[in-house]
Amino acid sequence: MRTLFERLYNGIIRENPTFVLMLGMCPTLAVTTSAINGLGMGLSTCAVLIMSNLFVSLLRKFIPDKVRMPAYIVIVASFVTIVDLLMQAYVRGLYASLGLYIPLIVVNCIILGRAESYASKNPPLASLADGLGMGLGFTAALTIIGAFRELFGAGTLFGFRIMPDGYEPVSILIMAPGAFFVLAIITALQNKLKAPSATNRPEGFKCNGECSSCGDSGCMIYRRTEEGK
Amino acid sequence: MNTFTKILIEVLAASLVNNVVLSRFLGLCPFLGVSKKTATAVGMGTSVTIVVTISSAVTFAINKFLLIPLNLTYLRTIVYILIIASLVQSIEIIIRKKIPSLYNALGVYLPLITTNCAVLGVCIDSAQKSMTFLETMVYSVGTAIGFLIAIVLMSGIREKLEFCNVPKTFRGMPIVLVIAGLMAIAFYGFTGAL
Amino acid sequence: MSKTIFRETLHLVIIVLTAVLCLSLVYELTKDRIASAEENDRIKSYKTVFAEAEVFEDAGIAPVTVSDGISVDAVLLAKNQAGRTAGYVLSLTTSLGYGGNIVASVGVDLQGKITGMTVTSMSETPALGAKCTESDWQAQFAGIGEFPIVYVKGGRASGNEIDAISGATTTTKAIVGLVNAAHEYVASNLLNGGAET
Repeated sequence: MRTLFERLYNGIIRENPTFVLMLGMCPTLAVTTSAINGLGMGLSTCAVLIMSNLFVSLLRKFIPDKVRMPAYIVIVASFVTIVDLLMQAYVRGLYASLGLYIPLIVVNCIILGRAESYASKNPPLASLADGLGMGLGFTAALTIIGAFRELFGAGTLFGFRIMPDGYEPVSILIMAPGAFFVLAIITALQNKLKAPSATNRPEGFKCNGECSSCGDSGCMIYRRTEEGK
Repeated sequence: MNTFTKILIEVLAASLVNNVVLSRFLGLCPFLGVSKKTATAVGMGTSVTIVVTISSAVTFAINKFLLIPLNLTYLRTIVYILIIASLVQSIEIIIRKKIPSLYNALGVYLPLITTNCAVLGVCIDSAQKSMTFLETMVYSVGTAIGFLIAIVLMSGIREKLEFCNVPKTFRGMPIVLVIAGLMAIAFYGFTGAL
Repeated sequence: MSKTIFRETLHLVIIVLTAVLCLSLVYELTKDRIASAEENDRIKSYKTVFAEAEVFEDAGIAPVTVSDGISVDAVLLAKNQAGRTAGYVLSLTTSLGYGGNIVASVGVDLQGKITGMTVTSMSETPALGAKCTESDWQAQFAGIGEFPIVYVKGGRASGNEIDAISGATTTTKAIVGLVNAAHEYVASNLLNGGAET
């Protein structure tokens, strides 16, 4: 029980995948044009993360070490396809607005990163909790960024008008450049407040912080090829 | 309009107007991660160009002659990612054996590309839009050129940035993101130009 | 050595086969649901442009380019409850938008009046041109019977005027052109009075 809470706290606050680890930047910037899109993307990723963590952990003795990356990719891709099919059948509006980014959950660094660094070494229940924590952390981050961009960029929140009629929306916030600016402001604030983040803690990362936004999975492959030489 | 002009316009549209990094946010990780030096950026950009071109051709064939006739399009994601992963491995082995000088230049970037969402993104996108073979190739080459342009420009700016007195708060990732945002605004200028 | 390779391959193959099996199962379970949802979506988008009709039948007309950059992709007969044709629903594409192709459905009744317009696919600038998907803006087209439709900046007055989307004249122009082309196509090819071609 304690592990469960520890994992949840770890995923949502201490090692928040978006704000602290800076992983999975593509969906973070691409789909956060509104709070509802951020929430939908976060929950879809969360579902895939929980299931892939659980199954990687269950199969960790069965998966041969040398071919573990292809095996993880197959497991993750299967759950992504299942989520894709279910969304196509039941939540079509959201599916239409997330579009291409749903199949691209496969290459989200968070998922392969957690499979490699946590689920492959820990028992199923703890891995499930880890997936849930990380997934909720990702969901919270995407929803917050989406809400911020929607509120100031369009004057609405979850589709409801919030700002007074006289408010002139800063529409660049929901356009592509705005995504970069919002994230720049967030990381700058973290620097200023000395909050823990991949951006100001280079020694905490395997590639000297150079891969800060590519994170574990890429670095992991990189490291392995370096070792293999 | 003759075919050549059409192809040229499509390439420009895919590389500049709908730039893969700056307007569609695909391939952000290498764009932010390996853009510190122009030499590495050129290496990464070239590797992505090679992988995108070859894998979109191969996935097109698989989609057209295997997945669609057998009614297995729902397996697209899983099949594509496995093809890309094994293609990257094969390209690496072939280059290492046949062109060692190229391997020395690009070898370290190739394994990183498997998790580059630009590659999978281009392949899935062209399949979802049911493009023809020519359209797929033009689209993927254009997209890859767009990636190369964006990452090389970014690395050039970052090299100059070394000599600038950036406010302490913005050092590191924040200033890079601000630059990316400004580049995205600049690339908006291409919208409507074609 | 070869034994471990064999074992590794076997395990990987087992994982892949299980995954594919599970996927085909989920696919079988969701297949019908997805198909019917897609059909519903299509009928719903036809209904938004032609509320009176109940059944939509493909008129079997081949796609045709009607003017520079605008093409009619499909024509459907909109039939009412009694099965009589009450008008037409056209699917058109224009390449004159700001961010590439805009695809829209337009309903035209037998008097040549626009019954509705909805944008089904576009990649216009968010917050500017992308406002063309808002139902308030699209609703302006319903009921227009005077042609050609023109756009004005703020305060539409007479029967053939449309408020432009502020900051997105190119998008407005493209869509107004598309709706005009739809009317012209119906008037000259499908309605009895003007069947010269």
